[in-house]
Parts: sequence; structure tokens; C-alpha cells
Amino acid sequence: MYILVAFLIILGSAGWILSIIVMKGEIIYQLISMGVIAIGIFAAHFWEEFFRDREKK
Amino acid sequence: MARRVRETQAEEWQAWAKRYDIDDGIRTFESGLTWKVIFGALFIGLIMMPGSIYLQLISGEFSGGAAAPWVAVILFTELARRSFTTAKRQELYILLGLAGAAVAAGGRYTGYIWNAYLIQTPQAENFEIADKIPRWVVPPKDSIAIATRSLLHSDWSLPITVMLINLVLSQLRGIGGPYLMFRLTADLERLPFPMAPVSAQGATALAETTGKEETWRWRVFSLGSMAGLFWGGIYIGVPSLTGVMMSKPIQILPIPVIDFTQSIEGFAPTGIFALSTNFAMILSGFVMPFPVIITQFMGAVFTQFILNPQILYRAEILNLWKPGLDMRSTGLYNSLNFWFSFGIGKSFAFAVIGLAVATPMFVKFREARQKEVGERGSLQTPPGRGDFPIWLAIGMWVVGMAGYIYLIHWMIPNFPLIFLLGLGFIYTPIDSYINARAFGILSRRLFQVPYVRESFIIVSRYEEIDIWFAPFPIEDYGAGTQHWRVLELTGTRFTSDIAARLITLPILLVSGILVWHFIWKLAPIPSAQYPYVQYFWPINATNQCLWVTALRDGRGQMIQAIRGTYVSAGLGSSLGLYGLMWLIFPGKSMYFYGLLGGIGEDPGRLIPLLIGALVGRFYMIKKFGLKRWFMFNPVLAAGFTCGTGLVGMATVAIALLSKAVIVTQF
Repeated sequence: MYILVAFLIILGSAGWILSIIVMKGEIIYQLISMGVIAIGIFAAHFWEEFFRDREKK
Repeated sequence: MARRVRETQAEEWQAWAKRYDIDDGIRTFESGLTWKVIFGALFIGLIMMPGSIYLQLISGEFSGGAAAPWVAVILFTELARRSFTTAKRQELYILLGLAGAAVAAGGRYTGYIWNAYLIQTPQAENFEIADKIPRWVVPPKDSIAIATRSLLHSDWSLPITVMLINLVLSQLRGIGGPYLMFRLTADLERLPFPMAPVSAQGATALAETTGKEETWRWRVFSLGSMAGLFWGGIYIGVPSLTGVMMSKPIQILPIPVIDFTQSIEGFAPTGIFALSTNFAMILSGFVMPFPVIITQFMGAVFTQFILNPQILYRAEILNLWKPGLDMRSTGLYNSLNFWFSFGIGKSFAFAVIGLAVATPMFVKFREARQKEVGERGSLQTPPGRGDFPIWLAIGMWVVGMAGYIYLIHWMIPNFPLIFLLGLGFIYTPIDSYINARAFGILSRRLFQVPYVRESFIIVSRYEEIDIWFAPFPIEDYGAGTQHWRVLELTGTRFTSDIAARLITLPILLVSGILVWHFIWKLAPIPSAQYPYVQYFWPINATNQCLWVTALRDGRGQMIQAIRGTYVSAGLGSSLGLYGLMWLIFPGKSMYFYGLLGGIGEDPGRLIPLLIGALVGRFYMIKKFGLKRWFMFNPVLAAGFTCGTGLVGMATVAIALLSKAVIVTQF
């Protein structure tokens, strides 16, 4: 799950940077990237609360 | 390859919370409500409140506000010592809170005097609003109550009844709302609330002076007080006293900043750098978490020296700026061009992250009830703290808010109810939760959308002027949350604080109206007796008339400054930064919060904080050790506030006396 979280955050962040540089800050592309990052962040905290200890073991 | 075990945000915050937890988190809870405290509140209500009201009318300064509680508590402890009795820290903290409430209660009636003035102004006449100001705000302008300058007249019964109903409802909201936020941020999330120990340790140190044995706390508090007296003498005393004697006061240090903005515009156009001369902030630098201050400063330097001049200015986003502007104008133009919108996005990111952190804990709610007291993710309460069920807190808040909205709907029946419901039941909880978390980590408000009320009025297309005089259900319980944390740190039973507030409320209400009535009778407000209001109220009346009549067209400058692209940029960049930092620096979320707080800020404002943080980290901790230093510094900061406050009150008293003397020719 950690890999998935990392993938979502990196994908969203890269998408957001591209939306600024390539799409000149077009709001719809920004919103899509933000959605991906937000899902990544929620998943990250769910991972910390529910799965981290299991993976540690 | 085995991945190294990450430190989670939970573990990081738990560690910080422990540092700020005085007495190592072990404490017994006692009631702070005694007859002594009630008499203390009476004293404050009748003696301190008039001083602070008078000061406000004369100088516009609310400086009595910060100092009065400490002065009251010192007088109280001195009385206790002379009477060979002791004062508990719980009593002193409750008195400190009541003193603050008493000074604030004086402001409750300011609106009446202002509206009584506004309705009679030529501006109100010219803008044709004088006869449209509702009856629940102020009596008609030909009322005898206004002509005789009397608040004790039956014509005021409707405005005062409305205020009293609102007051009852606000108590329900003011207890339920912040308590709920406290349980979520302090109990469930275990946020550290870094500035909460300052008030807690101040009350503890003063309480010890009334006992038989004095400990290190009193010595450290005295040291802080002497430093505060010295600093207060330079920063407040000299300008205030010379202002009494001379036409232009002497300032040893320019107040509040030394502006270098024009000096840096050659290599950093649109950058702001204004060194704050309020070096009292060094004490806050001692107390605040070191990583937050360092990253905050880095964020601010990056903003003003790279982002503003090299990126935003070159991209012509900051296009209102012109060479030669000072810090205030540059800040205003940058804000209108970009930072106002970006800041809104940044604040929403704070909310999203807060929800992301809290949601898994809500999912584990059943488990939270089984966890031990003091554990992160636990909703168990320590025995004797005086807690009440969460459902009761929610119920109180819902009843208080529903009643409040009903009252506003009665005042402005044609305004769409859906807007009021949205603001009360959606905006207020979100705003409060974000700011409760901000206080828990950064000890300051982070989320503030200006002109929310004006925006809603424009969007609703409501054209009656009564809307401008009605209250709006927009509230923020963020700062109130910290109060519960201080109660916990001082071992004060929550129920005793609530009882103290409710018992003293009628005293403060009655004394407030009597004091205002008396001051209004002394001389018309505004008049030459009250120079500040005489100077500012006429222009304020014009401004209010302009708002009331001009915003109907929807041409508010700030409203136009909100741009969706930049709001998204603020939200997207903050979320991306948080996500990447979570991946790269596990267990170091303080860095992110500092950076987020610093972006858009002026680094000059943060320099005193930075000095404090560096001295604390590289000298004090080495000299005293981490544990002792974290015990010392909140006491030192509390003593410093007290010392500065004493100078403030003393100089105000001298200034008041000098103003009271009328020089005659013979």
C-alpha cells in the first residue's frame, strides 16, 4: 500500500506542476491533479493508522 | 531490502505534546471557583473595565486588554499574601480568564454608542440611510434616549433584549463549539498547543508566591518580569510618556517596523522586508517548536527574495507594484494581485490535510474509546477533569446556532435562510476546525477568508440596508480551543471554569452598561474629550455609508481579487508539498507546517522569532538541558508579558491623569 500511496502523491504532484507549466494554470487540470494528491494523502494516513504496524512486523 | 521504520506524524506530535506538557502530564484537577475569585471578578468589572473603555476612546488602543488580567492577578496574589492565605493556580487561571472577559465585556456596548452616533451623522442623512437603520439596532434619531445620551432608557429595551437573547445563545455555542474542537485536536489528535503552557505556567508561578515555599518558577517569573519591565519601558513607556509632554513622541526604536522594502527593490522588486522591532517576540521564539520557526523563516525568505521578484513579477502576475512603494503598499498590491487568492487555497489545504489526518481516527472511533487516557487516538478523559459528553457539546452548539440563525432570520426575514444555514452549519465548523488545528500546531490563526459576509450579501442580491446591521453566523472557535488546553495544564476542572463564567456574566453585563452610560453622560462621543474617536469616527461613518450603499453593485475590490486559478495554485502546491514531504521526511510534519505558514510572509517580521529559536536551541538547551529549558521558557515568557503589561498600565494611568487635568488661564 505504501508503494501505491507514493505513486499517487508523485503522480499528482507531477501532474500539478505540468498543469502550471504546460497548461498555464488551467483550473480543470489543477483540480484533477489536486484530487489525485488528496487521495494520496488520505491513503497515506490510512496506511499509517491501519497498515504500517502490520508491514513493520 | 528492509525499509527503515518510519516515524509517523502521530508519534512526532505525541513527542512534542509531551515537551509542552507541564508536570509530565500527571495532575489532579481541582475547582478554581471560589468566593475570592468572584470578588476578584467584581473588582475587575468595576475598576478595570472603565479604564480600558476610556483608553479605547482616547487612544484607540486596546493595550489595557493584554495587561489588565495580569495586573488583576498580581493584585489578587498580593492581597492573598497580606491576608496570610494562599491562592491556588486554578483560582488564578480562572481569574486571568475572567479579567480578560471583563475587559472584553466593555466592548459589548460600543456598538450602541457608535450606532447612536451614526444615525445622527450628516453622512447617514446624505446617503439616505438614517431613517432605514432598523429599530433593533438603535432607537430612532429623534429619541430622547439619544438626545439625553442615556443608555438607561426604555427606548434601548429592544436592542438590549436582542443582545441578551444572543448572549444566552452565544454561551451555548461558546462552550459547546470550542469544547468539541478541543476534544478532537487535543485529546484525539494530541496536538501540542505550544503557547498554551505560557498562561498555565504564569498562573502556576504566581500561585507559588502565596505559598510557604518559593520554587524555581518564581525566580524565573521574576527574571522574565524584570526583562519585560525593561523592554516595556523602552517600547511602550518612553513613547507614551513623551507623547504626553511633547507634540511628537520619542521612539527609541521605530514602532512597529524598520522598513527595508525600498532598499531591496533593486535586486528583489515586489519583495517585502520590514524588520519587526517588537523584540518581545524573541520570547515566543524560545517557546515555539524550533523546526516550525526555521522553516517558516525559510519559506518567507524564499517568497520575498525568489518567488515574488524572480517568478511572479517576471511573469507579470504582480503587475500593480511600482518602484518606491513601502511595505504596506507593496503588501497590499501583492495581495490583490496574487497572495490573497493563494492564501485562501493554502488555508483550504490545511483543512484537507487535517481531515486526512483525522478521518482514520474517526474510522477507529470504537477503538478510540478503549484506548488509554493521554494516548493519541483516544477519547478517554482523565478522571476529575470535569468533562461532559461529546453529544451534549454538539447538542449545545446546535441549539445555540439554530437559535442564533432564527434570531437573525427574525431581524432580516427577506434574506435567504439557506445562506445563514450554510454559514452557520458548514462554514463555521470548517473554519473552526482548521483554526483549532492551526492553534494546536502553530499557535496562530491560519484560515481567514476576508469579506465572507460581504461576498454572501452580494451573491444573495439582497438590497435592504438592514443586512449591514445584522449579525452573521460566522464564528471561529480556534483560539477558544487553546483555552481548554490551558485549563487542562493548570489542572482546573472544566465545570468550574464554565460556572465561573456564567456566574460573573450578569455582573459584567450590568457594570458594562453602567460604565458606558456614565462615560457617555460625561461628554458626547465623539467630542474633544475623546480625541481618537473624534478623529476616526467621522471617516468611519463615511466608509460604512459607502459600504452599505456601494456594494450593492458588486464592485468590491477584494471580491474581484479572488481568482480561481491562484486559489487552486495555493491548494495544489500546498497539497503537493505536504505529500512529497510526507514521503521524503517521515515524521517531520512540523517542517511542512512551518513552510506553509512562512510562504507569503515577510521574513523581517519573523527575525525576532528566529533569534529566540536560535538562542534557545544552540545556547539555552546546551546550558540548561532540554527538559529544564522547556520547563523554564513558558514561565519566562509569562513573566515577560506581565512585566510589559505593568509598564503599559502604569503609563496609561499617567497619560489618563494628564489628560484629565484642564489647564485654565488663571
